[in-house]
Amino acid sequence: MPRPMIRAAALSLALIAAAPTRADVNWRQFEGETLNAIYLTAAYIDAWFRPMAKQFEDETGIKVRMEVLQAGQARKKQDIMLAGQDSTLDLIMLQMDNRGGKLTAAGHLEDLKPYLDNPALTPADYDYPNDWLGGCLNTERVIEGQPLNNIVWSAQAQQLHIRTDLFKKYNVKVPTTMAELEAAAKALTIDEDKDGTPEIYGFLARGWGNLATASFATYLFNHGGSWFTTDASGKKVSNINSKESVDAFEFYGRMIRDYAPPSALSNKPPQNASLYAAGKTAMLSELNFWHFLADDPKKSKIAGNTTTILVPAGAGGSFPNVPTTSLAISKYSKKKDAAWLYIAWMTRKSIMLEGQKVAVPMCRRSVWVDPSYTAPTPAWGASARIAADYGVAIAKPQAIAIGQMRDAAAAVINVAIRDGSRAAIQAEADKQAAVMTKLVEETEQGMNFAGVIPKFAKRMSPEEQAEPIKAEGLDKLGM
Amino acid sequence: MSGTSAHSPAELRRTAGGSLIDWVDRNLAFVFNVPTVVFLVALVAVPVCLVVLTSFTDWQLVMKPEYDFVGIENYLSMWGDGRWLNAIWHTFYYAFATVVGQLVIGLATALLFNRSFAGKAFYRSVWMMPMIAMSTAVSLVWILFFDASYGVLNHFLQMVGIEPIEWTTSPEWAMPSLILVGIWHHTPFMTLILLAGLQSLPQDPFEAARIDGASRWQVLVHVTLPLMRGHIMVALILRSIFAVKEFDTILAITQGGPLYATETMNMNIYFNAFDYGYMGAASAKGVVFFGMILAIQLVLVGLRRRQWSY
Repeated sequence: MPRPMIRAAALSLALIAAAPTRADVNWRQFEGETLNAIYLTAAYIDAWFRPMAKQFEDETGIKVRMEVLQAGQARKKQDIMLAGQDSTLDLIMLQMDNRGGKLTAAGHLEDLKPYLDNPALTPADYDYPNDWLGGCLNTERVIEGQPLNNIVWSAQAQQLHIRTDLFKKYNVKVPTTMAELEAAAKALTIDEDKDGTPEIYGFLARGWGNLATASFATYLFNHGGSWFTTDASGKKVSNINSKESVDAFEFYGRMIRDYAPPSALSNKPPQNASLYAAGKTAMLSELNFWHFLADDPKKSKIAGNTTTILVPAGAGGSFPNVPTTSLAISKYSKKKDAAWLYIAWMTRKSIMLEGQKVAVPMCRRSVWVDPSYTAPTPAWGASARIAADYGVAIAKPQAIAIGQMRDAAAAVINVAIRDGSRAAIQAEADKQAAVMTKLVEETEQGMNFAGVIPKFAKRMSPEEQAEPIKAEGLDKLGM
Repeated sequence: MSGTSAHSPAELRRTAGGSLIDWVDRNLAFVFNVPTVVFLVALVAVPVCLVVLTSFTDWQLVMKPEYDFVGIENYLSMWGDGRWLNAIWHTFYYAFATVVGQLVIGLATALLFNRSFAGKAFYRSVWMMPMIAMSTAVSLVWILFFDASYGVLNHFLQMVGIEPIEWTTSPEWAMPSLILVGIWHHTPFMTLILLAGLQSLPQDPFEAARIDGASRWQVLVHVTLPLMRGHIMVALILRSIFAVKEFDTILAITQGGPLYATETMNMNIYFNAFDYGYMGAASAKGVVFFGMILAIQLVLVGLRRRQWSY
C-alpha cells in the first residue's frame, strides 16, 4: 500500500477511535466542577436526590450543591436569579405546568436538544423519548413550538387514596364514576355514636387557597370542564364558567362541605395526609406519593389498609392529573455541559430505577416493568403507571399569569365549598373567568399555550379505569 | 532604661501619621458618624431610591426584565385595582382594631401591674411571654387553635352550646381572627411601655387628688391619663407602625385569604412583586405605602408635640 494511503487509513482509524461514541461517555470529563441547584422540597429529595448526588460525585467528581426550598420560595428564588441572569445557578427543578410556560416564554431555560444529541454527553442507551411514558411527555411542552428545555423525570399523580378495610367492612363499591364516589363518601361518613360529629369522614381533598386548584383540576376535566377554551375567533379564553366547569365546582364543593372534616378548607396537603393517616377519613384525593405516609406503620394508623386508585371518571371522561417534575438548565449557567451530564446521569435507567424502588414514581417506562421493582400495592402500581401513561398537565391553569389565574380559580373553589349554591358559584365563576380572560389578553400576546386538553392526549377506557381496583381484588365489593 | 522612648502627643504628631491624627482630632464628630452614614446609605437610601426608580418602570421579574420607563402610569393604575383598594382598607382596619385593642388591654394590665399583689412578678412574667415569641411560632400555634375540626377555640364554643366558627376560612371571620392574634401577641409590649410610664409618674398629683376626694375613676381620667399622654403616644406610634406593616403573621395564618379578605397592603405588594412578578407596579404601591405610613406618623408625632391643657 502506498505510504500516503497508509497514513490516511491510520489517520482515519485514529480519528474514529478518538471520536466519542455513544457507548463511552466520559463521566469524569468535568471532574472538580461544582454545580448549584435550586430544588423543591419533597419526600424524593432525601429518598433519592441526596443519595444519588453522593453517588454522582463519586462517579463523576462533580459536586452538586443543592439548595432545597419550599416550593413557593424555590420558585421565587429561581425567578429572581434567572431574571438577574445569575450565572451561579446551574440546575433548576420545576413543574412545567406551573412556571414552565413563563420561564420558556422568557427564554430562561437552555435548549437541551444539542446536549441530548451529543454522544460525548449522552449515553447511547439513554433512549429518550422512547422510554418515557406518554403522560410525562404530554406535560413536558406547554407552549406550541417550545424547544426541549427540560427533562421530565417524575410522574406523581393526583389519585384517590382509599381505605381498603373500610370499603370491605361496609361492603361499599369502590368508585369508578363520580356518582359512585359521592355514594361511597356518603356511605363511609360514619357517626357510630350518633353525636352529630362523624368519627370517620367519607372524603377529603384540598380546600386551601390556590393549592386547591391542583387537586380540583382532575374533577374539573373529568366533568368535561377546563381552565381555558378557545372562542369562535380562536382566542384563548377562560372556561371556568362553562356549565361543565360549574358542575365540577359544585360537585367538588359539595364533596368537601358534606363529607370532609370542617378543617378541609384550611388544610394544606400535609395536614390532609396526616388526617388520612390518622384514620379520620375513608378517602383522600391527593398526590400518590402521600401513600408512603399512610402506609408507614410508624406514622400511620391505617398502614396495610390503604391503596390508591384513579380518580373516578366523570361526564367528560378520565384525565389523570400528572403534575410532573422536570430538571432544566439555566440559560445563564457557565457549566451547562456538566449540568447536562448530571441530568443525563440522574435520568439513566439504572438511577431512575433506584428512585422507583424508593417509591418515587418515575417517567421511564422500563423501570415500571423492571423485574427488581415491586409496587407498594397492586392498585398503587397500576394507577400510577396508567396515570403516568395517560396523564396531562392540567393541575394549574397554564398561563403566563399563573399566580393570578390560580388565585382566581381558588376564589370560585372557596365559594363552592362554603356557599355551594349554583347561583353563587356561577356568579363567582363568571367574575373570575373575566379576570382570567383579561389576564390572557394582557400577558399572552402571540403565544400558544396548550391550555386545553392536548389533542394528543389518549382517552382511557372504562376497563383501564377499573384496572387498579381489579388488581387489588376490590372489584366485587358493593355487588 | 529599656531602650524604648516614650513620645509625647506633640512628638507623635510630628511623626508620619501625625497629620492624620490631627485631622481625626479636629473632625471627630464627622469620623464617628461615617459608619452610620455609610450603613444608612447602603442599606436604606440606595434601596429606597431603587424602589422609587423602579416604580416608574414596567419591569416584570420574569417576562420583561428589560424595562421601559412608563412615567406615573403605575401610580395611576393602582387606583383602578379593586384588590389594592381593599388591601388599603384591610390594612387600616387591622391596624386600628389591633392597636385600639392593645391600648385598652395594655393600659388595664399596666394599671393592674402597677399595684401590689401577691405573685405579681410571676404573673407579669407570664403576661409578657407572648412578646418574646416569634411571629411564625405564634402563628403556627394559633393555626392549631383555629382549626375547624380539632381546634380548642371551637371545642370551647361547642362546650357552651355555641356553633363552631370558621375562624380563618370564612371571609367574615378571617380578619377578626388575625386581629385576635395581633392583640394577643403585641399587647404585652403596650403593657411594658405603659407600665414604665406609670412607674415614672410623679406622685404629688395623685396625693392631691386623693386629698380632694377624687374617686378612682376620676383619678384615672383626670390625672393618670393626662400625665400618661406622652407614653401613650409613644406606644401608639410604635405599635401603629408595626401593625400597619404586619406581614409574617398574616402570611403564615391566612396568606391574605380567603377571597383576599385579609390581604393587606404589604401582602398585596409582596404577591404582585414575587408571585406575579410585576416589580414596577409593586414598587409604586410600595412608595404609596411608605407615604401613608409616613403621613400617619407625622400626624401622631404632631399630636404628641401638641400643647395640651387640662
